[in-house]
Amino acid sequence: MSKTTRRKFLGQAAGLAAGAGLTLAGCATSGNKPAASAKKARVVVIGGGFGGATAAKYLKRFGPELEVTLVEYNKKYYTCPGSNWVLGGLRDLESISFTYDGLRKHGVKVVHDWVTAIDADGQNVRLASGGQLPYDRLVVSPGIDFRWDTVAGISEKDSNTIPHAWKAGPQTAILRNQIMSMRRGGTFVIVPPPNPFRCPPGPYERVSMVAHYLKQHNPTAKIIILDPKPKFSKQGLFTAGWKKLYGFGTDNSMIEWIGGDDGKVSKIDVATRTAYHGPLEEAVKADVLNFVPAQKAGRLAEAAGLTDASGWCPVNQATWESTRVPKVHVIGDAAIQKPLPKSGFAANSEAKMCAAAIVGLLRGEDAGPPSFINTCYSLVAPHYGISVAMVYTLKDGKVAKVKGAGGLTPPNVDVSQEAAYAQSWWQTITADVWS
Amino acid sequence: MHKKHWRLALALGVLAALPAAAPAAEPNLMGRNIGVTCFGCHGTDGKSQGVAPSLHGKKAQEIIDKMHAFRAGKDPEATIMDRIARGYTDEQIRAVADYFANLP
Repeated sequence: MSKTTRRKFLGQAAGLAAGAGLTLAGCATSGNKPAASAKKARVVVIGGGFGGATAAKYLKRFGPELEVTLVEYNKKYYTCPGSNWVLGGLRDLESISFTYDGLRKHGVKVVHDWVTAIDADGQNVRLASGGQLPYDRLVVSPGIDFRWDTVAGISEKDSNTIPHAWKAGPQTAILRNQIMSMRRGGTFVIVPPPNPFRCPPGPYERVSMVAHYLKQHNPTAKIIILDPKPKFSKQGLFTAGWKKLYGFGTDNSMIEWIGGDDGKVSKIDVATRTAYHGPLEEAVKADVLNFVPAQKAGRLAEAAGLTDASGWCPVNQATWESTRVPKVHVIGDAAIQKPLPKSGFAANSEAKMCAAAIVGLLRGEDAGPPSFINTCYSLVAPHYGISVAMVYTLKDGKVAKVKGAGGLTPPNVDVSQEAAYAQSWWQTITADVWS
Repeated sequence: MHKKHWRLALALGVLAALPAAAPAAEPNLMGRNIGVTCFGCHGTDGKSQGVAPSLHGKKAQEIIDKMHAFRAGKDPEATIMDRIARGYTDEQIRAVADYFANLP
């Protein structure tokens, strides 16, 4: 594949480009000296998703004196949360898109360009247009990239016929169209990724939304989940909903879940949409195949030397500064966030704490004790919602769950109310990020 | 003319009252750091965009009482807030309540 195509793909899918070229990673520690003149301090943010857009907005909120520049290739962002609702026919794709005009109103300078390199020694971001953005602090929020080499027979170029739809936008539209035009009684096969990956409940909300659509428009169709994991996020809540709505566990079930070693897909035949799974490499022929590859940090992070052997970015969770490249902070899915999950809500929380820490570092002031929340809703059907939540604190320099807090939707809570809160959640957090 | 001098004097007086070169640090950092994470569901500055309640304009004591009821499992309206309220100490609840009560 040519470099140009690769770049184009990156731009469309992730909204970021990482040149293979120059990346000068410095030493692993960083001084906390206040900038000579805090008034002129420059912070550059790369990536305009939940993490990056929140960071840019809250850097201006906490440090109005800062010059904040956001670099994002795409002029429009489609949110992954809500994209399963598009697949279920609950909303249309354009209704989950945002521009960057909201951030401009907060005084953020928005640049739609490719990043070709991060020069960490020179504290400079290089752009494809030839421009340069010098920085005092850099925030990198590049999201995820895929490991195409973990399943034989399929590669990045196949994603137009076998969509992952794990980055919302054109991929979501491809999958939606395939589901809508699937033959009567056809089979939808989803292959969720192994841990860790973006949005742990996402594949199972997707199954729910596809089941909701098929139940109305193609009721003899089947859904098969070929899952490399022996268990999954919100499993009890999802399966209870599937039993209630889609006959799960009966002979007549629309949904079949094959998990663990038996569910592990080793090979895909793209031409026939056949997935081979389990130790015996059993063949399952799909009418619509949704293969979501294993994941790693966005390509820019790797090119900039921010990743470790795991493929993700180690950070000091008190400030979200990289432990590998000084003065560069990594937030969101790309960072090693554990015990925070790879979710939009966690990225939003991290971005705010990272922005507070950066303003503190640049001013030579205390940033206060960090605090984090994750709140994640999924729809099993339009009026059937479930949630998981957790509160996190900083303990010995690391993010820790607060004991006794958080958990899943309890049995006494009305699922239709949870569904209403799910909609409210999406409406509100996206306004917090992009408005 | 007279009026203008008066205004200038007032303006200078206000300026003189400010501490020299003090950065505009947000006070109550504990409350701020917790409060901004509430924005995800309750909206920027506590102004919700959906059915989740707005916290903007609420009195501190109202928020404190509600959080204590959630934490004790005694609020019949709880769907998720009981799970979240259990994550905070009395001191943190007071700080975040003060933060919301003092937002412009």
